[in-house]
Amino acid sequence: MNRMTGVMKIHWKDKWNWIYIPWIILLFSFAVNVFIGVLTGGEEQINSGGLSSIFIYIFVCSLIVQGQTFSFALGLNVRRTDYFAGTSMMGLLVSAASAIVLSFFSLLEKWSDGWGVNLHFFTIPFMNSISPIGRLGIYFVVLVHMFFMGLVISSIYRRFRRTGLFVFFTTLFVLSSVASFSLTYYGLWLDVFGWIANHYMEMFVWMAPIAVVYALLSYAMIRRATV
Amino acid sequence: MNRIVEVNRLNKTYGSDTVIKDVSFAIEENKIYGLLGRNGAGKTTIMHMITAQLFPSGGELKVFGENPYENNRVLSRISFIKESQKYPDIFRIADVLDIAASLYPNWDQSFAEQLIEDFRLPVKRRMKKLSRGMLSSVGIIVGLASRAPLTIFDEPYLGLDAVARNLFYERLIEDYAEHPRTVILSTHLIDEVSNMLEHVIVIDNGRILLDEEADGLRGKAFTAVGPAAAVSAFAAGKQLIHRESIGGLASVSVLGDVSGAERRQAEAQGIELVPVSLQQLIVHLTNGKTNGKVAELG
Repeated sequence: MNRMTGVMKIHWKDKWNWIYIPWIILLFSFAVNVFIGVLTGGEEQINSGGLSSIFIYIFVCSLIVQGQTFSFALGLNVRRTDYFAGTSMMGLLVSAASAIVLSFFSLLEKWSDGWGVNLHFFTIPFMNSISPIGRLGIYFVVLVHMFFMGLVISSIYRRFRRTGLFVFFTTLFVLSSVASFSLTYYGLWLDVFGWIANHYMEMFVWMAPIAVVYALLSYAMIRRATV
Repeated sequence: MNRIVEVNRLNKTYGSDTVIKDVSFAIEENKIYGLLGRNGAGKTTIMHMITAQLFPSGGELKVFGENPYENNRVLSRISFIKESQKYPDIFRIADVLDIAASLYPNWDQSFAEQLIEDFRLPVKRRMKKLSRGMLSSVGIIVGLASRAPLTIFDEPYLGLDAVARNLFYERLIEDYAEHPRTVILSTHLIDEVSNMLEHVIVIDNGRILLDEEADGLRGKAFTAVGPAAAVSAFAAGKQLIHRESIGGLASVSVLGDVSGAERRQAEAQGIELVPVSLQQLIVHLTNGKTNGKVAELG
């Protein structure tokens, strides 16, 4: 049997982390929003941010998953390459499946005119002008981006342990402080927000190559990680 | 004989700490090896390097004639059961066995099921909730049922009672007879396994102390018990590894063979000669007093 699929099988055993928990959170949030919509009688338009939970959770999931399974897989003499490939494939499949289901809900949302209560849960206002395929693409690319962001951070820990994470987060903190200070000093915050408002589609497009960079970095670190 | 593992001047250092120092040995096909030594001697480190879970700092390491690192031809033929194995929190025993079944090419499901019954394991229970002994049993089942050409057990018996340990030894020997393979057994309970071992490698402080056929070792050392004066005379000129006296009686353990004439003479003086057990021999060798004298043993 192909050993990469063996790794995917290890992940598949943990359906709670990969599938159930994120969807329970998302659907619970959705239910609460529908309830509020019913209470307000659909007079107010509700733009919920509940959709973001699934993107955050896939990041959390990939942070958790490596700590749970890496030592186990290597203990069963799985190659690091197969571990990386199996884990990435699992992340891509789960992202794709989630993106399809999210698109389906967003279509329903449109057809039912906000679930009958003027609720926009699965679409964000700017998405109204985007085709269903485009929406599917946005869901997918954001999910994949978040997944590999989690994977690259947990790979830093796998490879360089606590020191690695310490250096990484310190550097990140220093850089973001410097950036934030410079933006304030030169009065550029408004320009930044303005730029984002005009270029958010490009940002989604850029998430794809950035995710590839995360994946390559993760692979490089996993290749040299020990149990 | 085919060499399954070849280790040549292997080193492992952590910073300035040398854990493995110029270790060289070879493991031949279809034999049972004992890798023995005290805690922290470097046994587990060596086994981790053989399975490419740790990286050597220097030296040469070949498993099935190739470098094991990221090499499926090698790794798929190894089953390495260690006491420190981690399992995902959510896994039940059944999940572990299911994954093992799909990763080990020679997995024997009916053998695994029979072992589950023998060890009375609750397959639906989560790994997190298992007792130490049950956790060890799961490892043993994976190690035996995987029938890997190179099977390594690193202190697999932790927390197991005597009955279960015996069961492990029996099943290992039975299955080894039917499906010969190379087994490396690392253990502290040397007496329990000494009859199984065909070859013994003793490691101490990251160095090889002894690398010999078990049969050869059994006649390597003797303990002479008798009247103190007679025993002293007998021991004169021999290499002592241990000495004890109680009242007028003395007991000395000496290295080396005893000739027939010597034996008869000793017996006439009331000295009783018994071979030193493997465990005693290794305790003598690794207790720090006799280090460095071992070269003369071979």
